Amino acid sequence: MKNQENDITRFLTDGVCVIVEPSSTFSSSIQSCLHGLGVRGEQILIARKFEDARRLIRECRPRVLVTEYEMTGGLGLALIEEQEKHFGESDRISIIVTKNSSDSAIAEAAEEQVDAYVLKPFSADDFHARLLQVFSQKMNPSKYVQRIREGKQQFDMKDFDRASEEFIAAKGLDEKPTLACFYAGRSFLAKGDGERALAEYREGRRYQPLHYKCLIGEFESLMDAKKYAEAYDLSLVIRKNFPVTSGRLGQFFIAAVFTRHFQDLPHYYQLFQRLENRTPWLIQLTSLAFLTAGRFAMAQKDLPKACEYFDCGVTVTGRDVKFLGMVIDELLAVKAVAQAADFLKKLPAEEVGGADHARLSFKVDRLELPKEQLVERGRRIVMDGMGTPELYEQIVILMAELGKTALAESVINRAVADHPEMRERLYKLLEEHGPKA
Amino acid sequence: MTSTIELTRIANLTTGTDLVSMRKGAFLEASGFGAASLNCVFPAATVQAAHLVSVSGRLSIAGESSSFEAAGKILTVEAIGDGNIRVEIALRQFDKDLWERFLGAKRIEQGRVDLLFAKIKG
Repeated sequence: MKNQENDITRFLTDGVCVIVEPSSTFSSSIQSCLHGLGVRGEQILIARKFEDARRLIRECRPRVLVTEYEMTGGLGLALIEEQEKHFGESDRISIIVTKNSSDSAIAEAAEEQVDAYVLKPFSADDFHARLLQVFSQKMNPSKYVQRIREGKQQFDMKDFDRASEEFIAAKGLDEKPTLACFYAGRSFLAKGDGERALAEYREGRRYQPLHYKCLIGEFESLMDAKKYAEAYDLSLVIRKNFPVTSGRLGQFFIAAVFTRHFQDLPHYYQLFQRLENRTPWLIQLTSLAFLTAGRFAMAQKDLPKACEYFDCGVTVTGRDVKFLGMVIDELLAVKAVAQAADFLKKLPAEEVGGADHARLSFKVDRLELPKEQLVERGRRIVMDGMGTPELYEQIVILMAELGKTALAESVINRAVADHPEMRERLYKLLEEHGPKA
Repeated sequence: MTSTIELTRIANLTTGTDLVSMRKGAFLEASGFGAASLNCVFPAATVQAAHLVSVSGRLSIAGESSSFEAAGKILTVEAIGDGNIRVEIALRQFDKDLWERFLGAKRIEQGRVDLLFAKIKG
């Protein structure tokens, strides 16, 4: 035990440990465990807030970081990324201590360079033993792990030729060198050799068919190569055996949409709803997947199904006005006015009466209201300063059709004040749709 | 969410006087536990080592909440700054079956995490 504790002081040397923990109850327990392992008091720094932690990591470059999974302001994984800027994998230790026991959070952490994931509250003895184990693995790697680490260092220095040589050499040091295959694949991919990368990942899976990293490597290579059908098949294997992280879910959505497996989207939507970490990228991708699925259903003349998909997209975006506008446009394009009106009602309460609401209502009513009423509605929107190029065009056409040339010209003047480039186009529309001489 | 220990009352075992004043509905969360002990943070000067205490609260075991009562002794007291002390309470009289269930649930929860973590790490 004493030897192992020496490992820790040898690992840390004069470096520091940073604990990122909003609660003093838990930070004191973690602190106490580190003390118990021989870490001196002045080597332990505590941050309660995300921004303070980020600053502390930049300034003090901790070799050991123990962080909550999530706190106000950001994720612990972002702090680990910050720590990674200062130390390579073999020179630092990163531990998540959290109450979050969701599969996706654990998978997310395991995919990143996290060394251990501990649930709160913890047994002090167990935490102590776990820290010793992590330190021991860092300090006493096998020859195989050592070779992989050397390859990773070359990889981080972007010397992909040397990195791949190290990983290939590492393969001879283990009976089932799955991890070496994965990293070799990654190096070949970085060198632009997708085919060789794919071969390495597949070799890794021959040793261990369900090796997560090789599965993901293979899946991503197939996605890069736009081999969506194969990627989709592999996504089913990953989905069946592993939790889906937010980054992966986005790729699954893409694979499902490109292979027209729209029937999978509701399942992915459930996974999306369960995720803690929904990035703006994932939200956008998910909503576009549902928009595409809706368009596809409309092309199949299945309007109820299309509306189901659109509805999911609307929920995903949090009733985003722009997205609702896109849905309404799709529905109006097939003259599904009642359904478009239903989606109009989904605009957030604070938007009702505003510019977007006025414009979208005008669009929806355009197919139903008598032209005189529409013209009056449109004129009011324009006078209230809520006109858009699309709206100006529609109003000018309507006024021209009703023979209200003078009124149309006043709208054109108003439009040109905001959009001078529209002058020619609007006069052309007035001429085309106006009474013929 | 994981199994947790929430303390709603900490009192002097002999006199029954509350040692830590808590608002109604509030609780103190235990940060750690041992085979028959628990760790928590109290305001400074509320207890001293060797004090006999009674604790009441709830054990949340795999999502199910059970009330928990124990008599125990303050083993260690350590000042941690911010006007707080970290305390280890040795549990003496308590529902051992319930406590074992809690320990078992914690082992299962952490074991599941370790398994998934190792599987993905490869």
